[in-house]
Amino acid sequence: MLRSVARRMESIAPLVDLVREFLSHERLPETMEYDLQLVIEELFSNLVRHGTSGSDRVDVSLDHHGDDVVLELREFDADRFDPTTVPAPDTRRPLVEREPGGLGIHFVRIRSRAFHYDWRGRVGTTTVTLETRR
Amino acid sequence: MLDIVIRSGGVVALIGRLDAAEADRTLRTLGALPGPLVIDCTALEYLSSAGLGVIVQTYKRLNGAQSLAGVQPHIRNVFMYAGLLDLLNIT
Repeated sequence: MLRSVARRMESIAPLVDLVREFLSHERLPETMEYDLQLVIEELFSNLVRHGTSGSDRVDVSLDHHGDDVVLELREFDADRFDPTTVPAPDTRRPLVEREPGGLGIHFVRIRSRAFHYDWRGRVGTTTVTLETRR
Repeated sequence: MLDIVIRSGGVVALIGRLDAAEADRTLRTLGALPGPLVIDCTALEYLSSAGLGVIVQTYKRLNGAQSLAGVQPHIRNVFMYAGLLDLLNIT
């Protein structure tokens, strides 16, 4: 199931709808909804904040294969921006020493089984696999 | 979509989704309120890292005079992933 959205925070709402339609269509448990929404939002909002792309369009797709859900975010005419290389935050530090940032990708790593980035022909594709039975 | 309901006694109810699309507005609204604050999360359905940032910034602004009540299990997990479950007066 594919949805093309504009690269802006307001596009989170149609992506919420995408997750709900996908889970219903694939008859997957509603318990997956939070994780899927969280992973999509963290990756998408990262693209909005940090991505440098000549295109306003982002394609978000969800597919169901056996016990996996595979999420892809694709940006076009994009500079290379690999979210898998974002350093992990130190979540044991005291609150006063914490700097903003890095937590969203940390959440993606925690909730996913696989997390990849590919960049070719100025098309950047982030692929995340989540388990349906987690 | 998030509703922010300001009640008496320093209680603020967050109703709906506190995501990246709602974070700036929520931070501005909470930023106009004096402490101590009790953030009622009973009807908060969703919180992302952007929403968590709003909670942390408000907590710091109020020098810790903020607590969270009625936090639902999924959202409690988000605080746990961030290592913040024991640092933000979550009741």
